[in-house]
Amino acid sequence: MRRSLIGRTTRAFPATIMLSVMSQELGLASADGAAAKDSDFAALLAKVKGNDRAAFGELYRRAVTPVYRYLHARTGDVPRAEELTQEVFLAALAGLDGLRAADETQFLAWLFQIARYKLADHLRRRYRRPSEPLDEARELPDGQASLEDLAASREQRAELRRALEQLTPEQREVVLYKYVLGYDNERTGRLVGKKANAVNQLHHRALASLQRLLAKAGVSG
Amino acid sequence: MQEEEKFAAVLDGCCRRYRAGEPLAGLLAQYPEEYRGELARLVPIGERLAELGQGPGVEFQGRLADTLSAAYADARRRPSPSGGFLSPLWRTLRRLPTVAVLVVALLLLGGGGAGVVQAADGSLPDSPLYNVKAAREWVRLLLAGSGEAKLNVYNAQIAERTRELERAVRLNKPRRVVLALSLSLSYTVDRAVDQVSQLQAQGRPQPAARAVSALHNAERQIDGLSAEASLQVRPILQRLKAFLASQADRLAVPPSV
Repeated sequence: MRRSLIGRTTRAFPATIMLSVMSQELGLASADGAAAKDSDFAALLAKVKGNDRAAFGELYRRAVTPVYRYLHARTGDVPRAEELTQEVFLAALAGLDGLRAADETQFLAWLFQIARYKLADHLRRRYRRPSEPLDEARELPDGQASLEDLAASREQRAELRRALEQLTPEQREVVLYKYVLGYDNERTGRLVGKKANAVNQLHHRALASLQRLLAKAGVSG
Repeated sequence: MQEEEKFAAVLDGCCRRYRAGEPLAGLLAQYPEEYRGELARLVPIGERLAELGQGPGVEFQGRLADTLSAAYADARRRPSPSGGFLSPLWRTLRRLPTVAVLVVALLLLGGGGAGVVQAADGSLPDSPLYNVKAAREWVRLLLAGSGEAKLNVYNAQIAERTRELERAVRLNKPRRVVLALSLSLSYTVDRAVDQVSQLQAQGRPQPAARAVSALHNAERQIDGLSAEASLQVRPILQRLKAFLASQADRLAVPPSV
């Protein structure tokens, strides 16, 4: 009982943060110059589970871009992708001690699993409190394209995202890993737990479904 | 090999070559005629998918790195034999039953240690007195009964952290002090935003306006402060300002339900 009270106190007490900040040199900036050279992922993870901030910084750097790109592809919204990425990493940090990952792909599979949960939570919240996304306007490229072209491009991406959400989860994951994250078939297969020929078939069916859905929505190929 | 499996393998190879830069027309000519129509329809879709996900911005990566670094340090914190100057106090607090801690904090709040409390008011995180101030804020939060009262405490903490940041910058305090205050402010803002969400879910949208106002005030002050801050701490303040702005924007959108 006393233990749980102390636990609660520790979480609620603002000085907890202060103490942690004051008692250690903070900031991954300091870890930037001392990137872990150890290429063995298991060793890296073991260091992170210990108390090695440089190793943690290295793990973060390896994972932040794929997680963010995945979430941005699904949401199409920069602030939401940022918010969800932060939630994913904070949740990952909380569960790090229980993680058993022999290599980086297993680690990423775990992170994407968290990302899918967070995204599902987000979609449930959004369903309850719908609002128009401001998203695509932020990502329009600077260039010489006319406003009409940009608007059309934005609408096409939004339509593609809607079609993507209508795929089966496995089909969606396969095309996201292959195209958005640029993973090869071997890594994609390991992430979705399928063999190469099954990945190929999921890929084929995903593209065929997307093509059909886009044609139905009147988006030209 | 079944026909679908065979075509799926052909499609995969064709997509990879297309992504590597080979022109589609030339590629299609190398595949059996019966495949060309479907390949022509499907292969370009992959390229359009590739445009969906963009990479994270540098500013965001830096801000998240700071947040995670603090969270990691917090999660991995171990009692150290040497410790810092706050460690003895912290170890003592951990050994005491929570009730005793509360009584001491209430005494401080009630004026039992008025001198200490007054001195703590002007302290910054590099002073041992700052812990007294933090304890007092913690007790205020515990005593806040309703959600709105809690939000008022958070709003007051946001204003106080901002004032402390001003003092820290003007006194040219070390980077770690500014970072500690920025993290604490971010933490409080998170709590405030959560509180507003809970109140909104209970059908009480009004407190959001007060929280937005508190965030905008803090954002303006931090913005002004950035200009006079040293190069070492300016990026922290800029990230903090962006964070405050994003949270204020988030709260400013009224729920549709």
